[in-house]
Amino acid sequence: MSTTDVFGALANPVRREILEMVRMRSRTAGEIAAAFDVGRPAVSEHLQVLRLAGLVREEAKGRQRVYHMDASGLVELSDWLVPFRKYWKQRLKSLEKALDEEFP
Amino acid sequence: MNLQPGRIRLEISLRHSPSKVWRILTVPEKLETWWAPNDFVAQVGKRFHFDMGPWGKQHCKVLVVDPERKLAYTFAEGSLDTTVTWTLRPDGQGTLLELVHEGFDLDSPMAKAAFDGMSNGWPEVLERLAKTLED
Repeated sequence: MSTTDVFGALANPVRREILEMVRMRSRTAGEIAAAFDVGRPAVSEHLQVLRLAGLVREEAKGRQRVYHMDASGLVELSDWLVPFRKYWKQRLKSLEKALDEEFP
Repeated sequence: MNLQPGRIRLEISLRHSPSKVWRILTVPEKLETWWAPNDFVAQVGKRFHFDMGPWGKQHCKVLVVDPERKLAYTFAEGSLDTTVTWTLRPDGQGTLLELVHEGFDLDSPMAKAAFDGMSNGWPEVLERLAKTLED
């Protein structure tokens, strides 16, 4: 499974909270980590998932990393569903391939 | 705000018979080959999971089992809270397989974020939304 799935990215409550945070205003990695008690490495991992899914954008500011909401990922609702359509198209392709392998 | 929930509908034409397609959709080991590890049981009311690796286990419940015709289950209870429905129709020797994934809640925090994040263009957005719901 691709690690850039918006599907999986949104399925996690911590990641949804992070998105809520960066939606209000851009936040540093430290600010985001401080808001959760899951530990900084875990938060870094969540940020990475969100970034790969195209939901947040990372910017280096001096020694800080700042996270912004990525407009391309979540600006409009219709756009919000697009990645899910893509996801399913991929799954259906895999399904067809699985059928071909199972029943040649 | 009174809007219909979001809905995704896709269709694929397969050269395999409905019984074969049904197997790939309902036998856990087969389902895993194209989607994710799972403990699916084709029985209405049964709870099961898709283990989506780092994304965690998605809680699901079987809603409809109509062998070789229709299969439906809830998907990602407690997060996305959506429903997945598979419909199989004979198509010559093959199958026309329809997928509907619906119930994307426009009042969820994710959708709210999407709406609140916009500074303008309501009419355009509603138009696009209508299109999304149509297809």
